[in-house]
Amino acid sequence: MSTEPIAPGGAGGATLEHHPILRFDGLSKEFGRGGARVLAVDDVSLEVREGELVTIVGPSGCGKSTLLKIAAGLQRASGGSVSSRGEEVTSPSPHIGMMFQTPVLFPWRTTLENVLLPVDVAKADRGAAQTRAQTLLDRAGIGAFAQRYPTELSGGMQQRAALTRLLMQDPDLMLMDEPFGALDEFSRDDMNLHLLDVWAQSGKTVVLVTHSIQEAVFLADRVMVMTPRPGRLAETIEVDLPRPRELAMTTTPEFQEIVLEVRRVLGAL
Amino acid sequence: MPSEVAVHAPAGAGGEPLARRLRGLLLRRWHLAATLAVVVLAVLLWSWLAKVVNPILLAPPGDVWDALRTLTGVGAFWSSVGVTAREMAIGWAGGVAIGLALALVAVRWKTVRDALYPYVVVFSAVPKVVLLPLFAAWVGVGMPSTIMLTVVACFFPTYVSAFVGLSQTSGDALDLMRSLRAKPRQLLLMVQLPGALPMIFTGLKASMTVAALGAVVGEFYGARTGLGFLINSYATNLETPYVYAVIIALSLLALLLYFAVELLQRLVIRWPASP
Repeated sequence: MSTEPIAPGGAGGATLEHHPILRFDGLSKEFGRGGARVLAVDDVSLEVREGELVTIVGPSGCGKSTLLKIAAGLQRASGGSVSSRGEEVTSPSPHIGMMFQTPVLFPWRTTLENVLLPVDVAKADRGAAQTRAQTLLDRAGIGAFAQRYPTELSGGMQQRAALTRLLMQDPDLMLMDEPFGALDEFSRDDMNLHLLDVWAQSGKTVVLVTHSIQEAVFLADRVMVMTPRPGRLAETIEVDLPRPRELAMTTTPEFQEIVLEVRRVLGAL
Repeated sequence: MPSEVAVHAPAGAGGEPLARRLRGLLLRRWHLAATLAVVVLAVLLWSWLAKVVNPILLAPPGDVWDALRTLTGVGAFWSSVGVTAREMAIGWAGGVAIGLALALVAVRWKTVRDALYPYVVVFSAVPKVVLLPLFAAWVGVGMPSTIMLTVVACFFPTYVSAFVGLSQTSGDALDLMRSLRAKPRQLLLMVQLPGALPMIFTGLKASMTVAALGAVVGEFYGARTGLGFLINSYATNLETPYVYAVIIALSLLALLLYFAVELLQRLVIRWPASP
């Protein structure tokens, strides 16, 4: 904890509190100009702590993807601010990585080469990275497909490869934009468990956007519920279910209780 | 291991039931037989028509065959083949190079794209053949003006397909590369260009068919050698079998060069096609 930078004039003990890995402060985002202006995100403030797994759930068009892209430095906010560990996010940063609904695997690269993409972009040496990439693929259960092309992989395996590429990039904060939204229910359950595994082992911070309430509750330490037009943060719900989580948990009354609460927030507005 | 591994393992060779393979073979045989039947029927129809119609309009197949055999023994014919082949190859390479270069620049810099756009639209509407007299005046009739026409004709299909191919990179792919802090040059070389290759090759092949057209039309206009010149002079002398023979030779040449591009595509694009 002592490695955390001390803010000028800040009280020592409160430093960590004030430098969360992700912080939105009165964030808003407008699209278009003049009369065609649309307020996509309105006055969103939130803090994500180191090592936390936060999910943002809401219907289509509530601005949750926009929120994530602003956090990744891919888009600029129209108002308010976004910071990570006390530094304003204005452009992509090496300690913030992103995963998308489409796996974005390039068909001319083998699965292994796709995982090595961050290494190639950084113009780093492939040598040692190759061993690490293979190990990560093995851990993801698709090591045998390292030399295959992504078009030969199923949808679930493609997202495993995309997650492996994100781990290869090795960011502290992983932003995931509906990463399993296009998968069938079986692959989706499978990927949720895999993600929890990866998260528990890596100690990374995850912010995952989804429109599945079940998924949001199953994964999260905290669920942030967003409502659309304009996108507002309606409520934050703590999920105090024990970890490690198992699929059987989704049938327990405690789980259903939280799901209902999320539904109530979404329905009431 | 994920449960879907087994289901989606790529289908390897073998393992195909014998019955199905046999049926496929028979089916392919049948297709081949049908294709050959069309050729035989066409030649029969042609022979019959040639007896009815004036032979200046329609040469009998036997005469065309003789003409072909005569031509292949003549050095001037082969030098004409060489001239036309060179015009096609050089014109194609030139047009393709300019088309690719401009497409790359246009995709990379929005200012260039916006500045070029109206000219590309207007210029692509011009039937390129009408420029031939200008080219002849500038660089001389025969090979120079023919190559110039072929360059101009090949430029458009290449530029358009390369530009479209380079521009179709998905938003997620762009975001991924930006989040990895890739430089514009890396984005171009690692994502846009390889992603555009299938489209680019479509343009390269279309350009090759246009190159054959450009070369022959160019030779019609004052050339002293080349297959287009041969067709023109045989037609003027009413030596119809030779006209047909040269048309066949030209078609074979165009087909050969087209397949050369196809072969290049297979060498460059080695990954499996996206479903």
